[in-house]
Amino acid sequence: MDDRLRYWDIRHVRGEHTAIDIDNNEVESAGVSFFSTAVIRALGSRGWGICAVSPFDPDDKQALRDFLLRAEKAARVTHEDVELAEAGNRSPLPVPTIQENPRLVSLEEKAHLLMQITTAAEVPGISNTRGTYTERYEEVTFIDSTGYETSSTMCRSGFNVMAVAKKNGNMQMGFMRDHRIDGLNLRNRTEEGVRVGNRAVDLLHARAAKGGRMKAVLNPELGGVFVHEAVGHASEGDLVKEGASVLKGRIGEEIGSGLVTIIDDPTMHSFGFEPVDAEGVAGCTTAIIERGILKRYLHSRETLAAVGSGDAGHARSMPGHLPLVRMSNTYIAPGDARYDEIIEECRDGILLAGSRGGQVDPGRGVFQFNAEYGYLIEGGELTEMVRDVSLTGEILSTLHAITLCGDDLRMYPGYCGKGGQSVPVSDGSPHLLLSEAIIGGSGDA
Amino acid sequence: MHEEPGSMIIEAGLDLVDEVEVVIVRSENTSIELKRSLPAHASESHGTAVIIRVIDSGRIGSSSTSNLSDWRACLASAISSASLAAPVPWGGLPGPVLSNLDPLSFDPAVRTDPDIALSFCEGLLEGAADYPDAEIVGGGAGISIGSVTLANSSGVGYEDNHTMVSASLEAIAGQSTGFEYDHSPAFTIDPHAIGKRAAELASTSQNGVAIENGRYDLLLSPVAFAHLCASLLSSALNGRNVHMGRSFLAGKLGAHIGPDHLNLIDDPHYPGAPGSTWFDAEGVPTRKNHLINDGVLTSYVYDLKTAYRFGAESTGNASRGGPGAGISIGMHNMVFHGETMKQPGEGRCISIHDVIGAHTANPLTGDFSVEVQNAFFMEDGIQREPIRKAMIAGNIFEMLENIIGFGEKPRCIGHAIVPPVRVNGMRLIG
Repeated sequence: MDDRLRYWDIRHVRGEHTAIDIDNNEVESAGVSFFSTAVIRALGSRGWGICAVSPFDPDDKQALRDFLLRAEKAARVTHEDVELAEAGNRSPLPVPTIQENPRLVSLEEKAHLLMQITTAAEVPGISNTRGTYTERYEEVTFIDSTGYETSSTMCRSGFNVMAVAKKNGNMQMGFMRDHRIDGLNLRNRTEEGVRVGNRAVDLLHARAAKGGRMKAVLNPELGGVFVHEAVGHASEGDLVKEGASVLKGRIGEEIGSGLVTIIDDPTMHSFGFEPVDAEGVAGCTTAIIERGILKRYLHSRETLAAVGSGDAGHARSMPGHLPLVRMSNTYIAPGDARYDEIIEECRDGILLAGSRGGQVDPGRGVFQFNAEYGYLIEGGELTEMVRDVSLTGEILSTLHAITLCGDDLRMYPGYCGKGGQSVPVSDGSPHLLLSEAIIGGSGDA
Repeated sequence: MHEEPGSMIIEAGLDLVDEVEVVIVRSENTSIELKRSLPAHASESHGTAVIIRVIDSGRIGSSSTSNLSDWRACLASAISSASLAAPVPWGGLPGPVLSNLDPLSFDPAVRTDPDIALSFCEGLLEGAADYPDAEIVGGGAGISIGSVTLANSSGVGYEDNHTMVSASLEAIAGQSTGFEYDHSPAFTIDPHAIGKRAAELASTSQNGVAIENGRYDLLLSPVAFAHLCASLLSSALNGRNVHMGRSFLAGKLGAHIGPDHLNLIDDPHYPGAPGSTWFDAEGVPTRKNHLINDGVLTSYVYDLKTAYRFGAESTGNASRGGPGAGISIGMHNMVFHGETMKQPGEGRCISIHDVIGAHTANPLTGDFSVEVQNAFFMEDGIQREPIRKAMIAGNIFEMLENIIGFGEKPRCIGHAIVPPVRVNGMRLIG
């Protein structure tokens, strides 16, 4: 090791990516690609020097020395005084048992199983279906200058199904995704295909929602997007450190309703699980908000040393990219309200369900996300279906507006984008009642 | 002539399949990342990717690898991939027709020098200092050089080189944020102006006032317009989506879809734009495609496979990045233009710099409701009070019809090149 370096690490990921694309019952493409990439970080007298290479050969020691030298040289222009917190627990977390290894199932059979789901989505009224299957097998090796070394393998796989319904020039879409870390999930899933098709047809008859301020109920999928976008990102230690989070300096403050407990849990065997994070630290359950009080941020070793108040083990990266502070499996802990009770308590408002994604400006404290569909709530009952409905709000006021928290937590897999990187996550929630929400929609009535 | 090792892979592949295409992508990059106002990360990267596509009896297969020495496994995977794909009435890969391959988005003077990236970072900070109440959150500068070599069994052997210089800055004042960036194939970006604009957006957006629900005339910046429209329009004009029944614009060729003055051209030869190239991802020569001509929809865009399948002609819009290292259909540079207004902010309107959540719009119908970012009341082009928060709700295709005119100076945002856009009668929810 170069004595001008205080620390270095290497994260090498090699693996295979399988993709199947079925469009209107024809296999458009199905194949496997290969990758081997590494990122080398070197902490000089002040900040980080980084060298990312693809392909990477771990057996080529001369090349490795060269990459370290390059990283060390790069670090000389940095001026930020970086310190690293102790790594803490570095014993890899137990990985889930694989029920059926996707890699042992032929590409032909996987395409056949996906085709069964997309075919099932072809209920009357559907004009197009599309299904995609992705499988990403990764072998990760992490080494650092302390002599620590760990390796692990993960295989994430899953599918997306979309159906388009068309009638009299109107066109609507049903959609679902399911991605897992515990094995192939393509068998016996045709019911989901039917559900996707039916939703698209139902949306043909839904009208555009009218925007404005009203009471709103979020279903567990959309509640998960809310907790991810509105709270998860703002609790990331790098954003707090840089002054780009509305949650900066609020540890110990009551920032939401006493019903709200929000947790990020890298140990949970859901889609955001990893045995160790991208710094070789085993994650732990981090309660960000407990009964409305902001308690902890999510951290890397660097942001924990700089900011404090929280746990390391939340640094994650795409293969060949720099670790960033990220969420893993994020959720609002369940309360004790039943679903019927929440709808009844709402009386007049709107139920928002499913997700077309969202975005947040954590510095401004404003978020936006879009539901896949919704229902008006009138007199304590669900009535008419609505489409193209979104929710926007300010993080802090919305957390205070949660007046009922259901007992029916569910988690949903997805991908989260930040800094040009996309990593697997899951998020979830029980049904939530917001006493006031700003609803967006283009309808007039 | 094929460049090695492309010709070796093609030769091996032709023993087993009808046609072979090999693309080798190389890139190197250097960047400096600011955390607050300090250079915190200095990075360099070096990458290679090999993408092999084979066609056998109309069945197309593909695979990729980051390791050139693994090309045999990659070729075998591409052939295996083709055996599963549904056949199409394939008419063959293109032959070599291009002689002029002078790169369109490349400057030989660009080099991946971290000291230059660092000097750009200093420029960003100096520009931001004009607004001392705005604090720097982060930003940085990057320089990249890349090449694409494409060879096929019909004799094509093309190479394209490109360079990219970019810088960005994010600032915050109180709870108001500002973000600005720019890019160019040459060292011609102005980091001082980028830094100043980011800080100005954060500073001047403070103390926003409420806005009543209602319909308003909007002045959308190139950033806001591109984020709202470019991806949705690109998807709706994609020939595969059109023929598969996933496009709002299917069956509307020849129909008015915008005001008479509205024009949209996909221009792959636009000087200095990042999407500029003489050939697309499967070696088809690119051309200017008039997509909307005086308000009338005139063309969709195609790759070879979709064109062969539906009896159309490839428009040279194949792009890399489809599933399984395959081909998808994409735009090069969507150039919007129309009635030019001397003062697009005339009268009373709301100026909007950006939006949050543009990607959540309905990809089939174009319905959207998104949050505004850095929005201001405006009178006769003069910026007045900032607006605290508001949503714009509407439909992209209806919004096109309500375009009154464009400003004079276009800006390149991703794959869109557009000036400021005046759109009247849009719904805002305060």
